[in-house]
Amino acid sequence: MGTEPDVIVEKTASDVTVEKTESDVIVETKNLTKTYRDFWGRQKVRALKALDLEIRRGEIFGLLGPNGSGKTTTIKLLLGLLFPTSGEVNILGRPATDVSKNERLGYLPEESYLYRFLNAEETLDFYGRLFKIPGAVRRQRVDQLINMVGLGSARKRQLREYSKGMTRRIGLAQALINDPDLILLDEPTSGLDPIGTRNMKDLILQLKEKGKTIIMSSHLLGDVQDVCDRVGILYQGELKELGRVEDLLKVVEQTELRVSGLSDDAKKKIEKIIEEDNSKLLFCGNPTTSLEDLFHDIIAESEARPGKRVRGGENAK
Amino acid sequence: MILEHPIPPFFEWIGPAALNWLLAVAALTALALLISFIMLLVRRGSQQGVKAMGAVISDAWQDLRYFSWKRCGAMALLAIRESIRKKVVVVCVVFLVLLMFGGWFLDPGSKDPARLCTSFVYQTTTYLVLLLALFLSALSLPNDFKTKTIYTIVTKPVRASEIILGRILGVGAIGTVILLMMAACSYFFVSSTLKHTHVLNDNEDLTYVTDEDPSSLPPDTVVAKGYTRLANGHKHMVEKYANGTLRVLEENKHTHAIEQVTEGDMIRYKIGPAQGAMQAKVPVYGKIKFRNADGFERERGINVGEEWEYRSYVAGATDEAIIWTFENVTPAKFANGLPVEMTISVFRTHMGNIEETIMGALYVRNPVTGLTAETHVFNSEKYTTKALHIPVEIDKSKVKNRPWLVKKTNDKASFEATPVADLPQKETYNVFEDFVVDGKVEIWLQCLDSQQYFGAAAPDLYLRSADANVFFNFVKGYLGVWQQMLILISFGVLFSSFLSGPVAMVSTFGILVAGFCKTLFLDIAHLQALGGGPIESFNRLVTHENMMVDLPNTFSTHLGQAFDHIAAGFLSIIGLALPSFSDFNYYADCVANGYNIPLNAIIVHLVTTLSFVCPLFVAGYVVLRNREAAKQ
Repeated sequence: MGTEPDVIVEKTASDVTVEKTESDVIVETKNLTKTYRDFWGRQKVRALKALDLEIRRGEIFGLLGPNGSGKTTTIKLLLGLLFPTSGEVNILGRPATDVSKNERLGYLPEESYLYRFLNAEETLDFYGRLFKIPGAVRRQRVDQLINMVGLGSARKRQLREYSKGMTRRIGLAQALINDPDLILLDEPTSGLDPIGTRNMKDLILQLKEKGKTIIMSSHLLGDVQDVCDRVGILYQGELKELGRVEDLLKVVEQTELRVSGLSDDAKKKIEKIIEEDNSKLLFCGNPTTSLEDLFHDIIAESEARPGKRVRGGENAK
Repeated sequence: MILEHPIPPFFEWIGPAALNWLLAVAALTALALLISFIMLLVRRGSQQGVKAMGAVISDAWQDLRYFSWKRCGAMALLAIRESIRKKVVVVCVVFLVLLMFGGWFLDPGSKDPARLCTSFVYQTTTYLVLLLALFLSALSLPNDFKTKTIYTIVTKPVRASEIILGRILGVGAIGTVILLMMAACSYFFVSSTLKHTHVLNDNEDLTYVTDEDPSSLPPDTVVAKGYTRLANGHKHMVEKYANGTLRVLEENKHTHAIEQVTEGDMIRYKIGPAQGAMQAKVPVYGKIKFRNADGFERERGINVGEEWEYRSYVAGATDEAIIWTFENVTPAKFANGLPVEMTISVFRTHMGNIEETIMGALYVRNPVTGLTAETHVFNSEKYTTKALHIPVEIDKSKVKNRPWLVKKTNDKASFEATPVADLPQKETYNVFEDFVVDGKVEIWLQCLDSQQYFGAAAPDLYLRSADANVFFNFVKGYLGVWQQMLILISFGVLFSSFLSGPVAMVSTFGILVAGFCKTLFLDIAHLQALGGGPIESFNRLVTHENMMVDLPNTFSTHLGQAFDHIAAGFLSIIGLALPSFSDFNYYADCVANGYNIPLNAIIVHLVTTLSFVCPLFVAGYVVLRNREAAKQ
C-alpha cells in the first residue's frame, strides 16, 4: 500500500504546529448548501443556504444559533459526514470528503458516540490505532489523556457505566488522541456541570495557546463569548452575522465605567459632567458578577475553607 | 459416497471457472454502475452526476492506494471485542446443551453410528454458526449508524474499505474461534459416543461347532461361534479358530480387537475398544466406461428406467461390463496390492429368491495387452460397501486368456484382438508387472446372474490407498462450515452497509435460504420449474390449478407468463451472484461417510469462497464510501 500523504509539520519551540504548504486559511466553504431529501428524492428541508466562510489558523471560531439553525449540519459537512448538495468545502487544504484530512483533525460530537462495551483505555487505544500511532507512543498518550480528563480511577470501567459528564470527557480525549491541528467541538459543554464547563473552556483556551484551531458550535452564548475569537451566527440555515466577538458585542454608542471606592460626591460630579456633555446617564450602580462566576467563587471558597460557609448579606448576623 | 458433481482437478477447473466469474462480475458491475449513474443523474443533474461518478472512481483509487492493514486490524479487533462483550459465547453453551441432550435422540443401534453422530454434529454446528454469523455481520454496522458511533470512526483517517474488511475479518475471526471450539466438543462427543466395548464369556457365549481336537484341524477352521453381550445397541459375532485365535466380526461398520487371557483354569476374553468406526479413507477414483454386449465402448450403460440417471447399468450373464480405468497406480502407492472398495446398485428384473444375493465378478485387466484375471466372484447386496483385495501376486488359474478388447468405434475393422499366444505364460502374475502399464490399469465388473443388472457411477468403485488421520479429517470437515460462514458474513456486511439491521438480517437470511436451494432457484429463473415462474405459480395457487395442467388460454395467463419472462431475466442475474451453500456439504458428507477430504476439493472450494468474498467486499466498500454517515 502507498505511503499516506502525511502533512508536513514542524514543531517550533512553543510547540506550535506550523504547516509549510498551506495558507493560513484552514477551513473554507464556498456557497455551501445542504438540502435534506426524503427516500424519493423530494426536498424536505434546506438546512444550509450558500454558506461562505473562512476560518484561519490558531483562532477559536464559534458557530452560534438556535436549535435547527444549521450549526450541526455545517459541522457535519466540514467533517464529510454529510455530502453538500452544492458548493465546496475545503479543510486543511483538502476536500471534506478526502479521508486523509482526518489525520490532523479531532472531533467531539454533540453527544459522545462511543462504543459503550469498551473501557476508557480500550477506547483511546482503538482510536489511536486508527491513526497508526506506534504502540509505545499510543500507551503514553492514552495515559496522558486519561489523566488530563480526570478519568484515572475509571480507566478500566466500561463506558456503559459512565455518567454523561464522564462520557463527554472521554469523548474529548478521543478527539485529542492524534494531537490534531484542527478541532471541531459540537456543543462541547453540553451535559457538563459548571466545573466541567469551566474545565472545558479552560482546555479550549489551552489548546488555542498551543496553536490549535478550534471550531465550536453552541447555543450557550456565555460559553461562546468566553472563549471564541470570532463567531458566525446562523439562523434558518443562513449566516446572519460574522465577526470578532469583542467587535460584535461592543455597544459603540454606550460607555460603561467601573470604579471601585467611588464617593457620593465624586459620583455627583461625574453625573454633572455627563449632563454638561448633553449625554444621558442610563445606569450608575454596582456592577454584578455572572452567576457562573459566583458559583465558582463559592466552590473555590468552600474548598479552601471546608465547613458551613458564612458570608455577608441580609441574612448575616 | 454419491458424487453427482465430482470436483474436477484444480487446474482443469480454474480456467473456465475464472472466465465465468469474470463474466458474472462484469455483468453485475455494469448493472450496478448503470443504476448508480441513473440515480446520480436524476438526483444531481447530468453535469454533477458525471462529476460525482468520476469522484467515485478517483476516490476508489486513493482508498486502494492508502489501504492500511493496521487500521483494518483495529476494526477487526473492535468487531471481536464487540462480539465477546455481547456474549456470543452463549452459542457455545447452546451447542453444548444440544450435545448433552442430542445424544438421547440418536439411535445407538444404528447401522452406521459414526455417520449418524458426525452428521448430527456437523448439522448442528452449521445451523448455529451460520445463525451467529448472520446476526453479527448484519447487525454490527447498522448498530454503528444507529448509535452514531460511526461518526467517531469516519472522522478518523479510516477508509471505507478498512471498515468493511475489518468487519468481515473480525466477525470471521470470532466465528472461526467458535467453530474450532465446537469442532473440539464435537470430536469429543462423537468419539465418546462411539467408544464402547463388549463382554464375551467362554462358556456362556461361545458354542463349539465341532467335537474334533482343534490341533488336528487346519488352523483357520472355525471351532466355535457366538455373540458378544449387547453394548451400544448391538452385538458382534465372534469366531474362534482351530489355532486358538479369535476374531470379532464387523457389525455397525466397526470391529474390536480380542485377546484370550488364561488365568489358571479360567479363560477370559478381553475385547478392546471399537476399531474402524471412524475412518478417513483416501479413495483413488478412476474413469468409468461401459462395454455393451457387442464389445463396443459406451459412456453410459443401460437405462433401467430409474428417473435418477446418476448410475448406469449392465445386464447379467452377458459380455457387458462396467470398466474403471485408474491412473498413477504404482507399487509405492499400493505396496500390498490393490484394495478395491465398491458400492454397487443391484437392479432385479425378477425377485427370484429374495434371500439370495446377486453374483458378480471382478477382473483386473491390462489396458494394452488385454491380459485379464478374474480375481473375485462375490455376492452383491444393494448399496452395501464391499471391500475386495487384489493381491500383488495372482495365480495363473485366475488369469483368463480372453483378450477382451474394447472397440473404440462401431467400425469392425478397428477391432483388434491381442493374440492369446502373445500373453506371457507364468505360474504367478504380478499386478504391477503384468497388468499395470504406465501406471494405468483397468478394473472390470460383471453381473453373473441372468436378467439381473449391476449399476454404478464413477465414484462407486475406487482403490483405497493409505488412510488419512481421522482427527485431522474431522477438523477439515469444518472447513465447509467455515467457508459457508465467510460467504454469509460477506453478504451480511454488504447488506449492513446500506440497510437497517433487521432488513439486512432478513436479506442475508434470504441469501442463505436461496443459496441452499440454488438449484430450485435457477430452475425458477430459467422457467424450468414445475408450475411456471413466480406469477404463474401464484396464479395456480390462487386458482387451485394442478402444476401439470396447462392454464386456460386467456389474456391474464399470457400477461402473467410475460411478467415471468421478465422476472426470469432478473432472477438469472441474481442466480449468478448466489452461492451454492449446499455444495459445501461435501465436507460433512466426506467425514460422515468415512472419506478423507482431498486437498484439491479444499483448494477449489477456497477459491470459490474468495470469488464471493472479494466482490462482496468491493461492493460493500463502494456502497459505504458513497453513503452519508450522518442523517438530518
